[in-house]
Amino acid sequence: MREPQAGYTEEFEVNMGPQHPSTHGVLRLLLRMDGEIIKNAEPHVGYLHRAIEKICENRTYPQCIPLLDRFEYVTSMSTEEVFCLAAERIAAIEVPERAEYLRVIMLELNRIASHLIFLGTFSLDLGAITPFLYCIRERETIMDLFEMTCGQRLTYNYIRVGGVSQDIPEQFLPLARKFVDTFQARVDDYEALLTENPIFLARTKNVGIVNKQVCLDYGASGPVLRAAGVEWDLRRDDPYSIYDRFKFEIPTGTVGDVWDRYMVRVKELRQSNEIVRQALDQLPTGDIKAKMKPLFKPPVGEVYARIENSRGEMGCHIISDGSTKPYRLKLRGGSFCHTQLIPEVAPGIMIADLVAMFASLDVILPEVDR
Amino acid sequence: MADSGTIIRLLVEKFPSQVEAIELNPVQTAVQIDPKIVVAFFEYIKTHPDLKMAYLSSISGVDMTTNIDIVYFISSIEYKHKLTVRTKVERLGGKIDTISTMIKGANWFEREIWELFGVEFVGHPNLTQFLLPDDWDEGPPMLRDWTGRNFVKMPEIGG
Repeated sequence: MREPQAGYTEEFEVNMGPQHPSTHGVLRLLLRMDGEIIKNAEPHVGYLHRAIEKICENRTYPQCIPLLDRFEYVTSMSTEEVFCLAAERIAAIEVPERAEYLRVIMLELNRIASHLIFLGTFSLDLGAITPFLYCIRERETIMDLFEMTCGQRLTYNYIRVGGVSQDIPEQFLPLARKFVDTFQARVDDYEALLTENPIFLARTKNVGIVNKQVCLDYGASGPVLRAAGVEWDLRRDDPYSIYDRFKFEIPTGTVGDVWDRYMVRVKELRQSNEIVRQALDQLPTGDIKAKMKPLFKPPVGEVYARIENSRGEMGCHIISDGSTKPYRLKLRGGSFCHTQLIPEVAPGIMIADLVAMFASLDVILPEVDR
Repeated sequence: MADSGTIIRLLVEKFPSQVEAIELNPVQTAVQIDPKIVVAFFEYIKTHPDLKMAYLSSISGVDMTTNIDIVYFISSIEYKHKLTVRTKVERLGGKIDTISTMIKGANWFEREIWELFGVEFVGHPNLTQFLLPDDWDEGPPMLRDWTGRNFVKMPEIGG
C-alpha cells in the first residue's frame, strides 16, 4: 500500500450509474476524478436498447404507434405526432381541422406535463423536495384529461395516421379550461419557491455552462439551445401542423447555465398554457379522422419529419417501399445529442454540479437507446 | 435565406460531377453526393456565407440490399433552410470518411451506424461498442437479411 503523503491526491475512477438516482434512467457515467473535481466523463449508453427501429420494420404503420410510445415515454404524444406527420407526408393525407386542434391541445398539455416532471425531479436533485409534490399535483390533472380521452395515462396511442383515435368526452373542455385558468398562478407558486431562492441560485447560477458554440457543434436543440441564447424553435422555424395560427413567444437565456435552462422551461410552461388556451377557444367542430382505406399503404417515398419536443428536436425518417410496413424507420431525439455533449462540458466541474447540470439537460435515456 | 433552387445551384457549381439534385418530397431539398467528397462537401456548406449549414439533425443508415445509403439531415440556424444529403457505400465492408472531426455531433450518429450497419467511418475517434450488449457476436443487426438467434418475423397481414 502506498504511504499517504501530505498534500498528495491521486486521480481515481468512479462509476456513476447505471442505477444512480440522478441519472433519470440507466446511464453509466465513467468519471475520472481528482478529489471532487471531474477530469473526464465518459457516458456509456445502451442499457435500454430495445431495437425499436428494427421491430418497426416488421410491424404495420398502426402497429408501430404503441411501440413508439415507449421511445420517449414522458411525452408520448410527440412521438406519435412525429411518426404520423412523416407517414402523412409520404401518403399526402390532409388531416381534418378538428383533429389538428386536438393534436395541438394534447401536444402542449403533454409538454407542460413533461416540463413539470423536469421541474420536480430537477429540484429534487438539488435537494428541494417541496416543488416535486406541487408539480405532480398539477400533472395529475393533465393525466386525468388524457385518461378520459384515450384511457391511458402514459402511453396514449391517441394520435393516429390521418387524425386522432377518438373525440374528447364532454367533461374534457370544462376541466381543461379550469386547468389553463389556474395554471399561470401555479407557475408563480413554483417560481416563488425556486427562482430567487439564494440556495437555488448558488447551486445553479454560472454552473454547468453549455455555451452557444458547444450547442451548435453538438446539434443541441430545444431548451438547451435556447438557454444559450439562440432563438430556434421548430414550431416557428420549420412549421408543422397548425402552429402558425397561435401566438406564442420563444423564451431564451443568455449564458446557458443551469439557471437559464430552468428559466427557459418555466417560461415555456406559461407559453404552452397560452397555446392550449388559444386552441380551446378556436376548437372547431367536424371530423377527427381523414377518410382513408382501412389498410394504410403509403406509396413509395421518403420523408424526414421533425417537431419541437420538450427535449428538443424530435425527428422521424421513414422510407416506404409501398408496402404496409415501413422499410426503414429512424428516430432522432434531443436527448441523444445532449448526452453526447457531457464529455465536452463536464471536465473541471464538481461532481455535485454534474448532477445539477445533467438534471438541467433533462435527458431521458430511452430516447438515446431506442 | 436561400431557396431550394439557389442551394442546388451553388452545390452543383462547386462539385459539378459529384453532386446531383434528387426529388424526395415537396418540403425537402435533397442531393445525392459522391461518398469520396463527403468531408469537402460538409466543409463547404458549413462555411459558405450563403449556406452556413452546421446544425446536424441526424444521420440515418439505410440498407437498400444492394448497398447502404447514408442520409444526412442538416440545416442552418441563421437562415432556417435545410438540406438532405444522400450518399451510397458498399453493403459489406463499406467505408466512408467521418465528418465528426468537423461537426462534433456526428460522432454518436456515425458510431451507431458503424455498430448497426457495419459501415466503417475512416478517421472516427471512437468506433466502439455503443448500443448493443458488450458480448454481441451476431453481426450488424439492422441489415435486412439479418437473422439472430431469437429473431422472429411477424406474419404478413393484408397484402
